[in-house]
Amino acid sequence: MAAIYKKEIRSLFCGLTGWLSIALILLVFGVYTAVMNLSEGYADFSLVPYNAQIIFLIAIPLITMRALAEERRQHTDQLLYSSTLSAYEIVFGKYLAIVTVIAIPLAISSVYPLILAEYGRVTLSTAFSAMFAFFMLGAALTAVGLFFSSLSSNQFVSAALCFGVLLLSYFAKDLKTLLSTNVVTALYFFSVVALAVGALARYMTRSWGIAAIVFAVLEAILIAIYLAAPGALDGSVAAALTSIAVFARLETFCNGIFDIAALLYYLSLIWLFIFFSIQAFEKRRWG
Amino acid sequence: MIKVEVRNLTKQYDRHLAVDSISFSIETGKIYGFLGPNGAGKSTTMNMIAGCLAPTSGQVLIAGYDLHEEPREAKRHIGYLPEMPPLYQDMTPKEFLSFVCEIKHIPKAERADVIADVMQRTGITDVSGRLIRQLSKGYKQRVGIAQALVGYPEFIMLDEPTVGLDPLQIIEIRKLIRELGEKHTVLLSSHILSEVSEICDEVIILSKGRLVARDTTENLGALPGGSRLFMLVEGDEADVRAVLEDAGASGIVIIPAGEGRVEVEAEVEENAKDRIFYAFAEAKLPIREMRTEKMSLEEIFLRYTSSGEGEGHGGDL
Repeated sequence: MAAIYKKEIRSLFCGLTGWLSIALILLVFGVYTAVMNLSEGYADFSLVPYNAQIIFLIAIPLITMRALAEERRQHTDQLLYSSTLSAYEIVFGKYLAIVTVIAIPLAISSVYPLILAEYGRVTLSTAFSAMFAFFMLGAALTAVGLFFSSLSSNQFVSAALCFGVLLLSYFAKDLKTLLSTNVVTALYFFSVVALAVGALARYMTRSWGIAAIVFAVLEAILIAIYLAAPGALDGSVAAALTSIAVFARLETFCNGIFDIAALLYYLSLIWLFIFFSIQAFEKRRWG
Repeated sequence: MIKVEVRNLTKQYDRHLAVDSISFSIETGKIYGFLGPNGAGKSTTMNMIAGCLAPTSGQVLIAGYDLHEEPREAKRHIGYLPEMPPLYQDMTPKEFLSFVCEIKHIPKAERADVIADVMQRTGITDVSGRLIRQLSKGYKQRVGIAQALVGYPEFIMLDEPTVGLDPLQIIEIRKLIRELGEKHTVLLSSHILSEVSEICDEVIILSKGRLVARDTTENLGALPGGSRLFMLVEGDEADVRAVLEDAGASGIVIIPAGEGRVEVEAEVEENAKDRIFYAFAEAKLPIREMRTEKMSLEEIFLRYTSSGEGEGHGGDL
């Protein structure tokens, strides 16, 4: 795993993506610190990571897109498959390397509240817990990006898919307030979700039959719930959107609360998407 | 020397059967050739032996370890160069080999020696500091072979190692493979018969995903009809035919060429040329032109797949 980790760090800094991601994150932190703390005079540093989270929409697809897609395009995955390394070592080594690179600009930015504290009263505990949560958010999104990189041999396709999903997650909280909470909306909403899962099944298995079965089963369950116990669907759209609103969880930390539940949520997300990535990587071996 | 055993290996893609229940075993420190036209299942089979591709059914045993059950133990004994050399373009050969040493768990103290040695053996020491993406195809192929040599696995598989190289590079790579054959068991794939007969001690022929023949190179070349004879002879048809039949030629076609000459085409054993020459001299039939061509792979294939000979040879395994 150390070999993969070192190689990945090297390749991130050999190309543009590593440097660019670091530069973007530093830029956004720098700008928000200048505007929020220096110009506007707010003493609350947690406003900076709260506002800066939007940069992940660009930085995460950028830094994760090559990770597995490029191995496939260059056929170097064959070297890894024929080696004694396990899929877990390969995927997790790459994951740790990307997270390390993301940690670099965050470590640099973490110095800002210390500097600010020299000139005023800054609640350092809130500032650092917000920074830590920001890092965990990045770590969770990296796992998502890594998964999308494992789906394609074209890094731009991976980046586009990842961007789309992150965008949805970013606006999930706002969408929640827009969509009505009634049962019919839920029926439509989850039908679209079932369709998306069906599409994913088609992509993963290359079989229309399995995709159709997956969609039909999900849709049947949905309609059964709708007919038998429509009450269960009440508010379910909001719940579903809340569950994918990865970004929104940062807010609690910025309000000065160290949210253990949110941390567990991030950790589960990391575990889940690394697991998916390993499966996708391993699946290629099965042709 | 380790033993590699393949049992009923099968790979099925959606509706296409790429490899159909292939079984063979390789034991000695020889060079084996995997021969077959494009799409015969050579790469698929090699990928399965290397653990890059999981078989639909069947088993691969390397040094007694099942590739599926104990991949770590089994893979330690293989060095593999896939059809596309798996190279990181933004590394130098030295950096790349150092990475390969790490993933093959070569102890740190030995790494520098191993790298220097495989670079020297594959002749890439001179380019060790240049980026792989800037190297010529021949050098990239060498780096690919060097990668397979790291850790000195007993069993080395090379998938079409000479494809896309210029003639000089081909000669060099073949020389390198012959050198490898002195210390390692080598399995190389090719669709060029002359290449296989030049380098390999034993040949395994695949066609449409099935193993149709396995034999030593001499035996394959010595088969009646191993090469094709073309002649222009002065004499009449009946005399010429009689001499050729005595000399053991088959599939004789004789076409009158005017001025008392005949054109002859026949299938003969590979080294029957001299014998035929003297036979004609004895019969006082002057030869005006004479040349032999080795039979192409396609022709040998036609033989194995149409005449039923393949069954006989395949059954010997």
